[in-house]
Amino acid sequence: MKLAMCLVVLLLAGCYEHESPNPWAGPLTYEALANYPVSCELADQQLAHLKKIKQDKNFDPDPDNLSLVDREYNSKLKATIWWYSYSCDKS
Amino acid sequence: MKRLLLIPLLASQLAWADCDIRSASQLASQHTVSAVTNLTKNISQGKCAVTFDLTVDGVVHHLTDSHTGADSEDTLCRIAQEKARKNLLVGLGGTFNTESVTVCSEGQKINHKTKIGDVILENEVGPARVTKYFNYQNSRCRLFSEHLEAKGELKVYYGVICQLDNSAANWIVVDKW
Repeated sequence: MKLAMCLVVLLLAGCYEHESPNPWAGPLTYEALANYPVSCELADQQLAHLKKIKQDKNFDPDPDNLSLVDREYNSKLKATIWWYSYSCDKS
Repeated sequence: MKRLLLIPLLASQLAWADCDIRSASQLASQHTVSAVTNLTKNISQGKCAVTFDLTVDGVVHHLTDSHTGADSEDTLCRIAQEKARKNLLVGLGGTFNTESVTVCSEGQKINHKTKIGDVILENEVGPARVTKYFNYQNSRCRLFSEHLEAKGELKVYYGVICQLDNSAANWIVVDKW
């Protein structure tokens, strides 16, 4: 009986179609942000992701009001967001 | 009577307004300088005195200078020639371009640290590592860096400024970090 139960569980687990995690979603650590795979081809998706993080973090616009850790993160985040403007600009 | 009331009112407004003139200048020196002509060298005991003519922007200048040292005669004369040429060009100057705006605020002292939304002159903030101009929301923009001293410490800020209404003077700070 136990063996049958195990087989059923394993079968169900195997049949479960699990989605691959979206790389352009969710929060990022500072290290992940520093190594963000910026790409002009994926600019729309990546910018939406980064802007969502910016919105969620809601840092004070004055960098002097941020802690050292937040300031570092905010700098990296904003610099990465602006990267698309000057690197993917075709004018 | 109405006029009498209006005058003190205006005076008080002026007294409270804290104004600041922001300016950025650069010396653009562009001269057409000819080759040296009529050069004469007078060399004696480690000293070379030169006289020569130099035409700058179509005007002939007669120059003299000298240099003393332990170098070869040729080097002494070349240095003397260079000194005379530099002195002339420094004296001639160039086109001095200055742009300035007057910013007034009421009550509080103006802080020179820029913040998002400030309208500034482009040269008020320094260049960043990336110097190219780019297009953002139909405006010409560039990255900037700002180095300020606070409590004996150097603080470096970065940001983006964009040109307003194609005006050479007005740039707005759109982001800063």
